[in-house]
Amino acid sequence: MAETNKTDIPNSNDNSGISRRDIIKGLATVPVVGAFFYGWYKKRKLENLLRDSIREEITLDNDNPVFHRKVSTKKQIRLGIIGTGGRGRALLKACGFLRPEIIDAYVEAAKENETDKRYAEFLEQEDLNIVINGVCDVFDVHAEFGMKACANTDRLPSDQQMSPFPKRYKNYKELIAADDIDAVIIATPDHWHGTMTIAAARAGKHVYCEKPMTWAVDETYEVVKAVKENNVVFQLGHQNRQTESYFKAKEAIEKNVL
Amino acid sequence: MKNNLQYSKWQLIWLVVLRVAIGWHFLYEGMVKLVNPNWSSVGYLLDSSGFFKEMYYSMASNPELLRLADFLNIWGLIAIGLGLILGLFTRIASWSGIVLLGFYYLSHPSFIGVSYSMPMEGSYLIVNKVMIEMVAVIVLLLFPTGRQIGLDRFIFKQKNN
Repeated sequence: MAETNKTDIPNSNDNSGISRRDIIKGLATVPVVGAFFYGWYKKRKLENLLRDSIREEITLDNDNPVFHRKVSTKKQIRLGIIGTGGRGRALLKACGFLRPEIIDAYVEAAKENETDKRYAEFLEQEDLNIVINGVCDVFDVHAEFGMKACANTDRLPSDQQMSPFPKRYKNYKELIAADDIDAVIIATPDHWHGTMTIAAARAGKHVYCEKPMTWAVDETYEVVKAVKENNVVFQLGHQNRQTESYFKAKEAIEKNVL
Repeated sequence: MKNNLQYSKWQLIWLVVLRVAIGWHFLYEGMVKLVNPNWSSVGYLLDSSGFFKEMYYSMASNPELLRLADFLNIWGLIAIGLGLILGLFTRIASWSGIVLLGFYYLSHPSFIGVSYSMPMEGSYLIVNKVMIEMVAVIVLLLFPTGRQIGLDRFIFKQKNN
């Protein structure tokens, strides 16, 4: 290189402290840090502006949906459940009823793995102020499981005080006709859903029915008719629709964002 | 190693430009992770492939180790970035940068037959931009400029004299 002698080297200077040249060369790249943070500021500002303006443009607010959780403390709702197989028992759990044996397993699992919070979370589930007075299942094993869960009103492990077992029915018609039942949960095999809902509505019972509502379009209209004529509350088990994303999607549709 | 190589003016300028540019990149990568409360290295670690993937997986599966990896990543990137830009402890910054880039490369090497769920922004065969950046920092380590253009000029002045 022809020019190698042009740049100076610190220790080739005389050692009389820091010269002006030292300061200029030592601090030469400091303005880059300033440029960096100026660029950083501009970019962040633009990103924030874009985010806010998109939100403004589509008029979606940034709030979380509000769930109106009003559990009546006055009148206890008396339920009956038809079908206590896998899905039926999952619904019972959602209602706050688990067999003691399941709770035993949760407790054991929590002892071995401290991140296993199933029992703690189950205990935190809100008290819905309900009682289950009737269990209907043609299969004895499932009926037994269901009754045990319903009797465990205090959410306790085995060998603790249980409430009396609910009455067991072998025919859903008897459960629907019972006087001590206000509403029914239907978690039977799919082809029964429509028939049982219509029968329950005609008996004046409110219905929570697992999906699918029916297997045939015609039957669907029959169900709607029975529910309306008998003025009962009906809910289909599309529980995903109560998740936050669905509420946001509903808001987006209502506000014509799409 | 020779710390006071004599460069021509243009050699010095472009070595410093390379140093500052890489420093800028490090600094920005660090800052972006710092201000993003949801950032974690876990996704990147779990997407690892190649010879060392088990090591990266075990880092991701240990909460303490993961926290440490996140912390070192963010502040390592920022410190290395500032070090390279300012020419401050340039040698340590270069070494740390090489180690960090080495970790990144070994986590996501562009080997034949290896694919990732996180898309890369280019097309690579063995050599990728992470490796090129690492090689560039190795060059910066061997052709140091911090004691000429940089705060190291003040720090190491007395010692050199």
